[in-house]
Amino acid sequence: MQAQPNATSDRYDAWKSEMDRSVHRLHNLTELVSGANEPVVGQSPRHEVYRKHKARLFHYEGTRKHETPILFVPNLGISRPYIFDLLPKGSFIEYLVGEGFSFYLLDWGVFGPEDDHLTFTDCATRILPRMAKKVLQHAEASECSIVGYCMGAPLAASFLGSHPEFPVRTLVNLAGPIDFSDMGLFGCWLQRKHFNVDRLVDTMGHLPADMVQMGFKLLRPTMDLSTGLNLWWNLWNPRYLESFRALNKWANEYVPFPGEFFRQWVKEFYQENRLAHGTLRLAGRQVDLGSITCPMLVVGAKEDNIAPPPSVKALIDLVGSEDKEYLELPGGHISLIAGRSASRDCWPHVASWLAARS
Amino acid sequence: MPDSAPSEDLFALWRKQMEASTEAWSKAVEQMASQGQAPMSPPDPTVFWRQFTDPGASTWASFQSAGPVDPDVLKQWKRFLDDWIAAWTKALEQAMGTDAFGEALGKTLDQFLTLQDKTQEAVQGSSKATLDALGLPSKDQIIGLSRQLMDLEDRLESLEDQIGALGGPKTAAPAKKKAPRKPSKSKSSGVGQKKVKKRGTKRS
Repeated sequence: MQAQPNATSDRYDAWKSEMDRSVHRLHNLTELVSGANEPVVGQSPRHEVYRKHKARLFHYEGTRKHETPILFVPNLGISRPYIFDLLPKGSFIEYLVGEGFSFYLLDWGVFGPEDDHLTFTDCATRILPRMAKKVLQHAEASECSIVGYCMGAPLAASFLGSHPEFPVRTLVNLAGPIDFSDMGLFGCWLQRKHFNVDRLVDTMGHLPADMVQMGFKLLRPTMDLSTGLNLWWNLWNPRYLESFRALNKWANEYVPFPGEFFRQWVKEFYQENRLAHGTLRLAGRQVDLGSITCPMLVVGAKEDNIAPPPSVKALIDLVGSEDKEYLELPGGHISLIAGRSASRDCWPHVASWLAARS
Repeated sequence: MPDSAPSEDLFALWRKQMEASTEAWSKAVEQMASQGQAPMSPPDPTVFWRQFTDPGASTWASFQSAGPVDPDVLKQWKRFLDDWIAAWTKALEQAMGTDAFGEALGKTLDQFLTLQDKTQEAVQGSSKATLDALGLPSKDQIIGLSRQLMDLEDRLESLEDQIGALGGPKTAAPAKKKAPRKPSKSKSSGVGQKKVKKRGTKRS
């Protein structure tokens, strides 16, 4: 008999709490729509070390505990690199700097029509080697570790595979596709029989940001719906809202792709899979992944629909390294570098792996 | 408030319906493609799926009206929507991963590029004439100038490299080619490094 009033009281409290959340939701929604409290991203202190055309090399300041500096190579075009330094206490860069690494970020920059002629070859054999050399000079080190994320990983692997003389200490591949034989939806859409990349580049000159955005939205058409639903559900929570604002800002800020880079990327990687087949030649140099013998960590994401895990894992079998490790974490492409799961599962593992070898 | 078991059943039923209908839809698209009837865009999925979604929604409505409403119903509703979105995602992924969709996408892009080609031709012709008349540089000229600057930068870099190789004055500001390695701050890290190298984990 006494259970009945308690149950009613519990239900009343639960409804009251739900009503409070709803009030907070409405309040926060007003703030969100009005655009107040614009997120401040990329707050870790840094300075520019070097620049070549649009590309910039940034050094993040911190107490250095490890001798070997890290050169971080992100994707080129598509999105801005502040995702790696999104918010204080939610930043991949801040985390690694806090762990005592001398951290260098290669920011490829935002491309305009004047960069249409830039190729993958230029990036892997001219810009990347120079930036890596500048890291060694600036850090006064004889070796450096290279961490590639997404397209940055095949770029880094191509650079190292064609420059075996470069003193690399370790290589980390975070969600970077190497074997393009099964690349999911992108792989299907970019097949030669469906997709005429020559016509696209010849007509447009470059891949405009809008088109890049459309491609990624098409990859997961329900993403906006799911994001909206999760936003409404968590809108009462100011911490969620702060992260959402920053991530949403990044997720809607697409960057164009240089035309010739895109042509080479689609033809030689998606359509011909040259890197994995060992037939890739850049500026007269053969890219031989087997010549990479440094310790290697490869991290894939289980639900990654941009770089499916098998395409990432392939690097392990292609390099000549003896000290190599593959780690597959739950989540999608972004979950390795931003968000709660990244800071809990991915960053600590990468940091400890690097620390043991730096 | 009803217990969670019936809602679990409902979710399972819902998922099963979604998967079955997805398969049917993908087959329909492929069949159309094999008959040379590849559509420019996929068929409207809402028409096909309404027969599955409508009963699901009405079942859910009657199910929830059966007992006293609890705030937990909102959690269930959220889970229901999450599942619904996940099912749609899976369905769309299957449909978009077909050759028919890839072909339709390629054709759409081709049409867009044809239009773009014509538009660009018309706009560029008129804008160049206007800029010429005003004595202003065209977009191509500005791009050309920008590329010349880039070439100049490359040449300066190559000169810098050549001077460096000759052992001449250090023009590259922070270049300290033979800088001694910084002593490791913690002795243990150096030792650990060697140990790890020997261990060489190989989990591939």
